[in-house]
Amino acid sequence: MKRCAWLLVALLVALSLSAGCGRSHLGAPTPPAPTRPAMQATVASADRSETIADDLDKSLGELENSLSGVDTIEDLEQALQGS
Amino acid sequence: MKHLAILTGTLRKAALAVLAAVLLLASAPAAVPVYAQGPTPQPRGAAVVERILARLYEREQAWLKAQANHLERAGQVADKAQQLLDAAKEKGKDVVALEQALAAFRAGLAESQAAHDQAASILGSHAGFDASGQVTDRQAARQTVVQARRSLAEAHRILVKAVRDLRQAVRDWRRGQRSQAPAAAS
Repeated sequence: MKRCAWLLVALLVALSLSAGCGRSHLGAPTPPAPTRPAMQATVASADRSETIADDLDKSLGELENSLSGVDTIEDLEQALQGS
Repeated sequence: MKHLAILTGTLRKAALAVLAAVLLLASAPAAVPVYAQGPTPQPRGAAVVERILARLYEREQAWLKAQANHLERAGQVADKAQQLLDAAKEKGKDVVALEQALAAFRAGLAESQAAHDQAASILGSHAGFDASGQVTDRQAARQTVVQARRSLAEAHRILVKAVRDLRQAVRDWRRGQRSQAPAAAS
């Protein structure tokens, strides 16, 4: 009988301990979100700005080249002045 | 009597020679072309001027078309610059220089567009030219090509400057951001 009582007490202690552990896990504040996604967002934002800047520089360069190749008809204009 | 016969013969020969010369001159091709049923003959120089005017008109129309495309592309560039500005502002970067550069670019674009529209209006009314681009009035045609060229060149000059200035401003701004980044990190 005494042995059974000890077993019962041990069982109760084990149960209470396991329940306490469970509660502490459940009640614990949500661990901070993994830092990896946040870092990725920062990198993505930096990349976006740089990507746009690269694209803008490229577009401006292409437009500048295209503008410098425009036929400004100076040859015929001079021919007209001479005629 | 014999002398009289010789004289008559000589006179006959002379008359025949004159007649042959007249016939030869009449049948020879005229030095100046004769337009029996054509337009009033033109001096050669005038025809050359008209050819130049027609060619100028044609090339100005091609220039106008190309410039319209350039202005459209410049508008797209302004949108991209605005995107960069927004992204940089979001990250808390100093965008004052970028804002000023973009405002100057947009102002230049508007100015260039106005000059371009002026050229389009001049070429569209085609004073001195018919619908097919042939000269109908030399003086009016000359005015058309000169004025249109002036407006086209003005639009071109402003647009080139606006594009160069914006490109340089964006490069300077990026360089400034890169030099600030290590200082902020330390």
